[in-house]
Amino acid sequence: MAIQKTRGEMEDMRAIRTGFGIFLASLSVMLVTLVAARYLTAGSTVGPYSQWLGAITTLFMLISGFAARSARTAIVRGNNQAMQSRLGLGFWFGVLTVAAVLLQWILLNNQGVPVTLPAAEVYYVLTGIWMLLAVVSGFVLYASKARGRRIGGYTVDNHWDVDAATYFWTWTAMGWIVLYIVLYFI
Amino acid sequence: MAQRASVEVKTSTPVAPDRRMMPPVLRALLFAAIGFVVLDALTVLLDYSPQSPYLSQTGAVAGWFGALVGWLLGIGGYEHIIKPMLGFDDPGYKQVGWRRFFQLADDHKVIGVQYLVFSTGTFLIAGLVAMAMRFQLMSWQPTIFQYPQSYLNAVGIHGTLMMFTVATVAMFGGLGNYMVPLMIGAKETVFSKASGIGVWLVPVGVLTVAFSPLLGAWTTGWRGYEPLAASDGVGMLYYYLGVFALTLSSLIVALNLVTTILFKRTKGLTWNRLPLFVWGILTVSLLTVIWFPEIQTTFLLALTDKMAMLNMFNGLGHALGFSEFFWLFGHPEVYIVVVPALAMWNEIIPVFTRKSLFARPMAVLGLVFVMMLSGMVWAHHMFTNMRYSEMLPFSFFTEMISIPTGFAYLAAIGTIWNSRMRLTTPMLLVLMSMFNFLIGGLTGLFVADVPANLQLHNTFFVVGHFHFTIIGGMVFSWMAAMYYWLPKFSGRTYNEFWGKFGAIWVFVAFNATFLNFFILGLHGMNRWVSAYPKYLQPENFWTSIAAFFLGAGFGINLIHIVWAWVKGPKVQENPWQAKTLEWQTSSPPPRYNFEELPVVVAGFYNYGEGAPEPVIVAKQAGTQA
Repeated sequence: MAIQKTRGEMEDMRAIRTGFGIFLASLSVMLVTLVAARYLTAGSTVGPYSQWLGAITTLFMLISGFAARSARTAIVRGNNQAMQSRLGLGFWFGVLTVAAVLLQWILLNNQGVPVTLPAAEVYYVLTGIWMLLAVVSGFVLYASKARGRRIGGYTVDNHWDVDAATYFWTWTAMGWIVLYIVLYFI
Repeated sequence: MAQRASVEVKTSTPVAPDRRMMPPVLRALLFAAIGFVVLDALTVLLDYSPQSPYLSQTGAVAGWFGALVGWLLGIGGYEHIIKPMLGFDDPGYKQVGWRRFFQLADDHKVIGVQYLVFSTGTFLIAGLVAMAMRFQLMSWQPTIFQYPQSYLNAVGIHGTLMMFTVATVAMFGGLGNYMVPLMIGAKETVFSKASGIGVWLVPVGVLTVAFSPLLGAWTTGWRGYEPLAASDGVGMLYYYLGVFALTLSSLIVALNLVTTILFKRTKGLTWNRLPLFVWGILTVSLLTVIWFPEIQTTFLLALTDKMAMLNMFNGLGHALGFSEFFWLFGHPEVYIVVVPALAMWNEIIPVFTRKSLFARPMAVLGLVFVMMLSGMVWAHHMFTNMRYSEMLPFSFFTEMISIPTGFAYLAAIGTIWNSRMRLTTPMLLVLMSMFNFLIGGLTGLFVADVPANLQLHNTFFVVGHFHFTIIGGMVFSWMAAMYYWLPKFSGRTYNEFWGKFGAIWVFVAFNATFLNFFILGLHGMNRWVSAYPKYLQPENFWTSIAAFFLGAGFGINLIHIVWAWVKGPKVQENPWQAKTLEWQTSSPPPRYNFEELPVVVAGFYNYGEGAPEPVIVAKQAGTQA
């Protein structure tokens, strides 16, 4: 049964949601800077990255991002169990994405590509900073799942934790897609 | 996510077992040490060879991150943020009295005081470094700094601490956190826990920068310039990391305050009635939200560039790339520092002139347009590296930005005009700040102008210009604000004689010091040098003497303010008869600021006969309705 929230509580929630939105918008400046750095230091050169691995990485990230989004949809409909399993799916595909990026690092190294090759250094630096963000947002995603289990599940009226985690993770997924396009194609 | 838990805690604090816990600061130090050792050991294990040292360059960086996480967990992040995120109860805040200042707090007033203490302490450290620099410059030959690198490192530490901790943090993090919720009639801020953890990034950043030379000197100044940084010691990495921590702290302040101002304003507090200082903090918050992630990313890039020996920002890569990224942030940073000061003038002046604020909308628009133009002027710092065709737009916008700055200035002058001013210490300091800022602004026009800029670049003229702007404008306004709000912080007041004595002392010493910088610059004194042509020694000598007086003057004011805060005479609730909301509650304010939320029915800056009272409390509003 839906619990009626007071006006004050609704205002508080609106403030927290907007503040979180500003945080994500602010974080996007990081992404813009990274893209600018890519073109300033390496021009539009595409490095000797494995196109297949890049596509697979992006596929993992897409699955992860959509799973997280659908976890939110599930809790909006009151389905706690589906939310938990989709959060888990999103988290583990996120781990696979990070692993795939690390695999690309290893492949570049094994191919004997010099670290100081402009296209290689932008790959290492851009994806490295992205992974740092992915670790933080991945922890938040994991925490929302763990918290849900511990407090006995979220409800239709009380699922901000899942919202925040999935928004953050979606931002991370979109960040990867932007980096994928600028690193692998343009 | 953990944020909502703080709201829940307020209504029903869970009963936690009464266990004795190690004082948070000691626990934080212990956790930081453990974090450092563990992460450093991990780097050794991942890249093991019998010859590898236990503490490598990579290990020092990884260890720093481990220490940072350990410090934040130990100070209270573990039980107040991480555990609630994972579904455990928040034990609530058990520390009371002075102990609450030594842990993670969720009260914006405690956080404000923590920021003020950290920025004041850092002001002392940076000031002592400046004294050492001035001592060196008394002689044309090396004295206490035997190597140029040591002197340059001192310049860098002074500049970094002053810009990223004192100038950015004192008014924004300190006064902003303490006063903004009070001034908008809010009981607390929106992201109070995040704010509580953010303040503890400041000591991490300050100590990282201050002790960075132990890992090797860095010579780049507060800008961390590449490719110069590439030839510096490992200490350079700790500059990047320290500034990263400091900027992260300010970013959290900005996110918290901008959301609080948007959503927590009390009934009737429309945008048209918003206090000037709150407008100043709002514009600064927006600037911070835009530009701080940019510089943080740049520092992460530079850190990796140096640590992994890449070529991103050296002669083989894009040698000017770092400078471009840096100044994109660097000039808005100047306005992040100065805008709260401009706002503070117009907060204080109507109170002491008992005159309505002149052209209030223009004063607000001035702050907003300064914010908007600040991102379009950055390249004037790089005129020596640019084509002439690129200089014109940046020179144009740099000179244009004096127009919105002038709005705020003229609103202040219009209010003072023909008034019967009460020349108290805060008012006197505001006038001094206005004078200093005027000198800074007028000399800024020369620096904005291409032919003059190319001549004056890298001389003491430029150093004089920005010290008049930052110290003369911001620090004097900060002092004015401290004297003005002292009765609010403590319920006590200062001694008017000693207040004025201290103000006049620093004003005279400040001008004696920094007016000389212009003359030194015009005579050919370069920045970034510890040894200089002999003919400049007499002038440098007397400049240093004035600088020592200035240092002593700040000390006198600090001692006076601390004495007044703790032992000063008690004072009535609203000694200035000011109208803004922070004065409509007790001093010092209670935990949730207002027993009954005030309702605003008119602007705060209307004085004179028949001026409407701006505030009624909620209960009265209810009966009147």
